[in-house]
Amino acid sequence: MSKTISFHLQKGGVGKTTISGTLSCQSAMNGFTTLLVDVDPQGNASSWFYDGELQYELSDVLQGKCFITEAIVEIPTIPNLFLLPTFGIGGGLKQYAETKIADEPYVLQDLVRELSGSFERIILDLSPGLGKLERSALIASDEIITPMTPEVFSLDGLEIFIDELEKIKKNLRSPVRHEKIIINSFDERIRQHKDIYEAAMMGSFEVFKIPVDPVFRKSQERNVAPQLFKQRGKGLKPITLEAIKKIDAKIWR
Amino acid sequence: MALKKNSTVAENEDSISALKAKQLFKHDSRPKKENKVLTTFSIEPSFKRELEEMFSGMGLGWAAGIRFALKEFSKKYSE
Ligand SMILES: Nc1ncnc2c1ncn2[C@@H]1O[C@H](COP(=O)(O)OP(=O)(O)OP(=O)(O)O)[C@@H](O)[C@H]1O
Ligand SMILES: [Mg+2]
Repeated sequence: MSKTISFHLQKGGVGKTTISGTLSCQSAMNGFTTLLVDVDPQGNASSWFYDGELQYELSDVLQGKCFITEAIVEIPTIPNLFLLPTFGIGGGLKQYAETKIADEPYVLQDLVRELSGSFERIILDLSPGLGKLERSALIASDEIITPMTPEVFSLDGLEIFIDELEKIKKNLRSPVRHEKIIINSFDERIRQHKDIYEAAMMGSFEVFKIPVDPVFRKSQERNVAPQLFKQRGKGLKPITLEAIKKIDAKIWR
Repeated sequence: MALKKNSTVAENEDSISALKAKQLFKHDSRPKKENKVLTTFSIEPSFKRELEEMFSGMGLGWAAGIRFALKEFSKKYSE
């Protein structure tokens, strides 16, 4: 059976795209047909993995301007990885989110249902915020996993998110799960990071961490999977790779 | 004599972030819910509509209504 995951916190810059992209690659590398859906009008996930010009994007599919199959592209360097892109420049997703989605909050849920016949695993990369587009994507997911950075604004963000998600679930009658958090850009030398991690371990969330690793940024600049990035023979730190594999092993169950 | 680092004070005091984190995650100690399993069955459309109307009068959606009805049923007949 197919599973759909969103990595979300309404706060910006916590690593939603980095984690969505990295775990999509990991899943594909393990042989699962994986689709990364770029639900962010900024199109960061798309420009990370696709360096070229395309005719159709997600908002065209949502508006019935093309078939799903026409908009999905295969990522040549990563077998089994597919992308349903959004154009950061000249794209229509922002406009669609502002004007049309209010009338059809289940549009992404319907899309995911249709896609789940063709893909074993689907990851949605969302923009920061909790507007109509993000809500629609959240309820289209089987599970939401929250990435956060180990600092106080992320903690505030998580508190707000837990509260808001309860309301969204109730209003839109969604059973989506929210049981895992990922503490991203973790630096074990920093006391505050360890404190926050330890406190999180005491709660009811299953807690993962991803170390701070410059290869994420570099791989995004060069349009490659972080797992495949090498510079002078060096790639992701072994502890980063280990963290990614650990998360991958847990989230698809 | 060389100055010695006083490690006890600095290291044992919680930072503001740590306090905030402790509070947040303690507050969040929601009891762990059992995961639900998906189950399907078919039903006559007219009966489904009838039930849906009844559930919606109680503020329940389809799935919540079915769960509620089954719980009531099991309460009634389990003893
Ligand atoms: N573990 C990490 N180590 C080092 N850098 C990281 C890590 N995770 C993310 N970054 C970097 O942090 C920046 C923000 O990450 P990213 O774009 O994934 O966040 P985001 O939550 O998707 O942001 P937005 O809210 O704008 O969509 C990027 O430059 C990324 O390369
Ligand atoms: Mg992003």
